[in-house]
Amino acid sequence: MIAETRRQRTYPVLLPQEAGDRTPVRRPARGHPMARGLLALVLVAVPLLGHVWLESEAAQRGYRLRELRTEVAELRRERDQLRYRVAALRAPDRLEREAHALGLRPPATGQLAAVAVPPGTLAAAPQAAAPWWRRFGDLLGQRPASAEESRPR
Amino acid sequence: MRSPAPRGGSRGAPRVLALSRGRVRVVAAGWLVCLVALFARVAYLQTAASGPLRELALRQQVGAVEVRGSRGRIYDRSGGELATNVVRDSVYAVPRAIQDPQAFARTVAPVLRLPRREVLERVRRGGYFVWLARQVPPEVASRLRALGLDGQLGLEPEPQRTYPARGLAAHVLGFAGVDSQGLAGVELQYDALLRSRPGRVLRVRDALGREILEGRQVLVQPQDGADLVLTLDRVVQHVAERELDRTVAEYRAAAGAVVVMDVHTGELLALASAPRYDPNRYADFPEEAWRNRAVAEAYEPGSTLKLAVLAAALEAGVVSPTSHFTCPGSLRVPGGHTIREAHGQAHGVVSLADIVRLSCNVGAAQVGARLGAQFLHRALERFGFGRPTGVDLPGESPGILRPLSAWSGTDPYVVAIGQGVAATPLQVARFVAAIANGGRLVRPHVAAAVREPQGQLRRLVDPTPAPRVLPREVAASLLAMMERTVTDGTGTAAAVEGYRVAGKTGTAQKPSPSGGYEAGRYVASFVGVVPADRPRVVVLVVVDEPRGAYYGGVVAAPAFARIAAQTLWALGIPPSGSGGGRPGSRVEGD
Repeated sequence: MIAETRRQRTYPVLLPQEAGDRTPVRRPARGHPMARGLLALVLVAVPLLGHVWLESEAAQRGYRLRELRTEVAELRRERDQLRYRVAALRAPDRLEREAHALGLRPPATGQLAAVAVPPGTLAAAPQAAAPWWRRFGDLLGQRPASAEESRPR
Repeated sequence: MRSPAPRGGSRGAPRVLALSRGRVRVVAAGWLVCLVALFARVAYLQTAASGPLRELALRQQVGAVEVRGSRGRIYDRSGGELATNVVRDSVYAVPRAIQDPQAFARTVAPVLRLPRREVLERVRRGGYFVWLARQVPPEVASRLRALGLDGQLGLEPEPQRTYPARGLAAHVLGFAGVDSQGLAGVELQYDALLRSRPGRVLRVRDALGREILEGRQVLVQPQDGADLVLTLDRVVQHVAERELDRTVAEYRAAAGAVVVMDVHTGELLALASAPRYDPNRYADFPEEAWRNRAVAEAYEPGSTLKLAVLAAALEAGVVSPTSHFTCPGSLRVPGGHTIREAHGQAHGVVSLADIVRLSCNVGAAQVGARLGAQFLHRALERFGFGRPTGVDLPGESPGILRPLSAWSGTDPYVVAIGQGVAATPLQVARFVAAIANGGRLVRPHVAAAVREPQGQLRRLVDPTPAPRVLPREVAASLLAMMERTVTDGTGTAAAVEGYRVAGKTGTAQKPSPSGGYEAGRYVASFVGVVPADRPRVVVLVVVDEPRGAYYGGVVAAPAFARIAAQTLWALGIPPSGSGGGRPGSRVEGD
């Protein structure tokens, strides 16, 4: 007779460690889902809002720039008008009329004298009549090199 | 004792929380639905409907517009502005926005000083845009703004060409049209240089129609036109115009012209024509007034051409300064014509100097005959007659010098007294300048320099040297003869106190279109060089059909004297014999 032997099976069991060996395991922090959502929203929304703000600011500056450009155009317009007026006031015809009104007359006989300047004196004396290209440059505020360099040779 | 139940206690809180969660879910679901709907709409707009919408948006927001630069300015030789630009408003209407065209025309027409019918016609053409008036004065623009017709009427700023000195040098400057295109004079001749290059700018507008600068893109950069500096001196020009006007008025003449030119360089210091006009209002004047007579009109020069005949004869060696001729008062020439002296007066035995001094027709005709047709014709061609001078102004006449083959036996005689040949005032002045400068035929010109938009000043120099057409001795000899015209000849009225003057009078009958000459219609002229001892400028005065008097020595010579005197003062040229030829001498007012 075969004696019935009890079958034995060994199951692995994870036994609790000794209290002294246990090291605390840090679980990943799990915030509240609402807080996490809000955080994500903030992370997305802030740059977006920043972008919108910058765009808006740029647009506002653009409008301001446009206003300034308009102002510049207006000032240019005024400058051209004043320039025209100055040129009209300097017209020989008008100057002659004004001179006559002031009692000025062309020089009569004997009212003109030629003054002979000895050679060499001019070098020390300031130039009375600048050449036309220099006067032209002066008028335009371009006294400088550009006019000077390209003067007639 | 029983403790009291906690308020909102442990049993109430979960219930509220559960309720809140339920609401949040509902709201979240609502948002989700909305978001899905929005995304779906966005996806639809971005894909299926994107094409037409993009086109619509581009049409509304983005547009490429032409941006005009500024037309170059024109200056005189000392930097005085002769032509410039100002911005004026041009007026347009939006016919589609006008509900009552009658009322619109009734309101706008008086302000624009236009007939009401004209405004009505333009508005009734329909459309979105129609010009009502271009470049209106500022006060008109202000009145239009005050009407409050926004949407129906608009103002567009445009550059307008203006001439601050009004009529000064109008015939040289010419004028430019409303679109800043050169139409006459220097404005036309140098249009390519003065004209600005338009640019293109891409503009983006917002919903209110305001420009968004971030969207602005310059597709093509506009370029301003270059400025032009002329050789004209505005003071000399004014003097020339004033004296010409005075002479034309005094002798009730039909027209006139004045040329003032530097004999050495060909620079035109003044070029005047009468009648005059204002280039700011050129359309208000007849086209006849626009004509630059010094350049575009040829006349028979009369006795001033004797200088060319004597120059040719002296150069050819057929006469010498000591040659003499007999003047019996008239001379019968081949072809049955008779050449007479002005008063029928016999001059007797005359030298070459006397021919110039007394303007002796018979003596000059004999010189012409001695020279012969071939030599005379060739010499006149060489002196620049019968072909344009090459002045940088449009519409130059070449004058008339018939081909030698068309000359008859009479021509050497009549051409010698300035008939049968037509020349422009500029051609005559140019030839006399050659006498004054020692024999070189300079090219007259009005442009001195170009100022590029970047500020660089570039002088315009003619690379071709002036050809010599007369030996120096012949030129000097002729100049000496011309001096006697002013000291004791036909041109004593041309004398300028303190300065030596060399000149020649000219009186020519005007040819008739039907042949022959018209009685009582003359051209009086005087051409002279100052100072004769150090020639600087040649001045020519031509008066067409003067009344009361018609001799060049009477009509034109006094005007010459006044112009020459004031030109010398303006240029600071010291009186003759003052030692002013040395550098450094100058004229000073008392």
